[in-house]
Amino acid sequence: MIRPSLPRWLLLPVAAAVVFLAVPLVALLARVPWTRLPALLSAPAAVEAFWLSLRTCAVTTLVSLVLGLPLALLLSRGKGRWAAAGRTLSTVPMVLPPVVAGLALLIALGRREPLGGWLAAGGVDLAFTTTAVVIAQTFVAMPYLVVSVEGALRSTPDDYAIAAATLGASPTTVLRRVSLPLVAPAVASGAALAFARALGEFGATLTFAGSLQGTTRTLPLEIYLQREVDTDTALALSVVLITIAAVLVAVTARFSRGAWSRP
Amino acid sequence: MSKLSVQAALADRGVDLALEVTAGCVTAVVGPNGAGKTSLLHLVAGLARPTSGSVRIADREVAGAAWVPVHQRRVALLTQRPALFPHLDVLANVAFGPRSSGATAADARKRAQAELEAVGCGELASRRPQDLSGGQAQRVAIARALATDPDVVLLDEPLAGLDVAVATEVRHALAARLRGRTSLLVTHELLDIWTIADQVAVLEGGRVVESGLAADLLARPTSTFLGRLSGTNLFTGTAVGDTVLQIAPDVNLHGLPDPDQPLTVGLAGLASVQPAAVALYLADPGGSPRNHLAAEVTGIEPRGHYVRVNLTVAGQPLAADLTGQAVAELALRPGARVQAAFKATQVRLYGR
Repeated sequence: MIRPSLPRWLLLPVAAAVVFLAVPLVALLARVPWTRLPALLSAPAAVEAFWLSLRTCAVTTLVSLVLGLPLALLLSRGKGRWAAAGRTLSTVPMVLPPVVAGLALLIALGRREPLGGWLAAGGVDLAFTTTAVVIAQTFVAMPYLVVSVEGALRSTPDDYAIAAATLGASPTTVLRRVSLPLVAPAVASGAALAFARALGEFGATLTFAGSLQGTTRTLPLEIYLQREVDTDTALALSVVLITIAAVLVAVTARFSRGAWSRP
Repeated sequence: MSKLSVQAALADRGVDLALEVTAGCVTAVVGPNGAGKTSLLHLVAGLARPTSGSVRIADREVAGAAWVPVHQRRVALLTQRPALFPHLDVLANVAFGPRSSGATAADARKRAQAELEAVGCGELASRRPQDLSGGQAQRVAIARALATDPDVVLLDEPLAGLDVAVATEVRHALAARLRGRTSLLVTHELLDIWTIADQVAVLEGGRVVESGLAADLLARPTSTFLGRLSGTNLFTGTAVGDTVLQIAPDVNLHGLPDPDQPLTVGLAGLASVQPAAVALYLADPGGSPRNHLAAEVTGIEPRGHYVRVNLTVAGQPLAADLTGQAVAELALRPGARVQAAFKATQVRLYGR
């Protein structure tokens, strides 16, 4: 089938959009000191930031799965006022300015605040720890997983779960062998999105966890710090982030294509 | 063998159903849309909770004072959509039930393979559900439903989504596999009742308005039952030829055999003819129609643009749709003796 063609003049704004999106990336890649890349990336501060980012993002993705999947399951079944409230609450961090998210975490869990003080008295001190980084990242990244999985659950017909139940499967078995496998592609792409969002996290981390080399200074923080004193290192680290982002985008695309076709 | 007994209401859906199903019997459930057929299945399956009354399966109360959730009811449900799990292959789909009830993986696979063979799908075991045709998918769904040895099998128009030729195949598989199992089969098809059902329950406005043996209802169809089958005339009898059904001593009906279910000489058969195809004469007309039967008028009901004339032929009811003008010209009234004639090509004959 040949679809009616789009008007030719559309090419003009399209070209503008492509240029707009590509120019900054191309400019950055053009400035990268490619020959010195290995040396720059093996500097202790860079290596520490890299591993810290990778570690915290992995934990963040795991925590998002453990807490986010049950939330998505419940929200997908929810109707009415409470479900709407729950859905709003779980998506607000997506649109919240990260610095505000960091501030909210600081006020809730800071050492001089009631809850944080109570935790500190119990020996749990979050300020300037790697745990604080994970908390900040999870706060902003988990909603991406919840939204992605909830949408997939909602568009799955009920009759699969009904068939499984009539075949004698307990609610846990239905979840484990039918409902979750059916949305596995959405879980994978949601987890990739959450990982990507956590990797780019800057504002909330800086506000809530600070910038302590090896403990809370993740890749974006390190890049921001090096930006003026050592532009070459900042550029080299940017290449690392761009590469990871590209891989994650490819993974997400792969899984959204691989969704189960309905028989 | 398990008896099923429903005595339950769903107030919000205006449903109040009373039904007993004999152990090992297939009961066809017929009725117009919104009559409560699906509600009945939901009540038995545990997908709807009765607002009053109870549901008992094999003397175990599953709804009422007690509540047994779906997965503990030992009830299989088959709908128009096969709903095979797309992430599992055909064998794993059928093995799902036995696995869920604690069978080992090897036993479950063995059972699944046997169930697949029983519906003629043994060679599809390693396929993905996405690669099956509609008829294959529905037969696999039958195998999957029966692999759990359910106490009750519920079927909600399982053949409705299929082409006629495919539906015939699946109907035969279903008839063979359901024999002797307590089942409820929601259907609009005369053939389903004739081929599969032992009993019939007619639902209307959320109530069971009639129930009885399928054989009785087919032999002496009541108006309520016929109304649900869009007014088809039915005759039961014995096949005395490939195209001849004897409905009473010396009374033969000529027709065209159904290609998928032809008559077998000496065995029971069923004939159907539309009331609009029946013509009435005051004397034997002769001429081309193969069937001319002595009939007696039992009632006349005007139905807008036509008149439904009810008759008896050899003790079995027959309806004829005529224009008001024709009824007036023949001066028809109850008790009048007439000749009913219709062409053999208008009669469809079904064997067992």
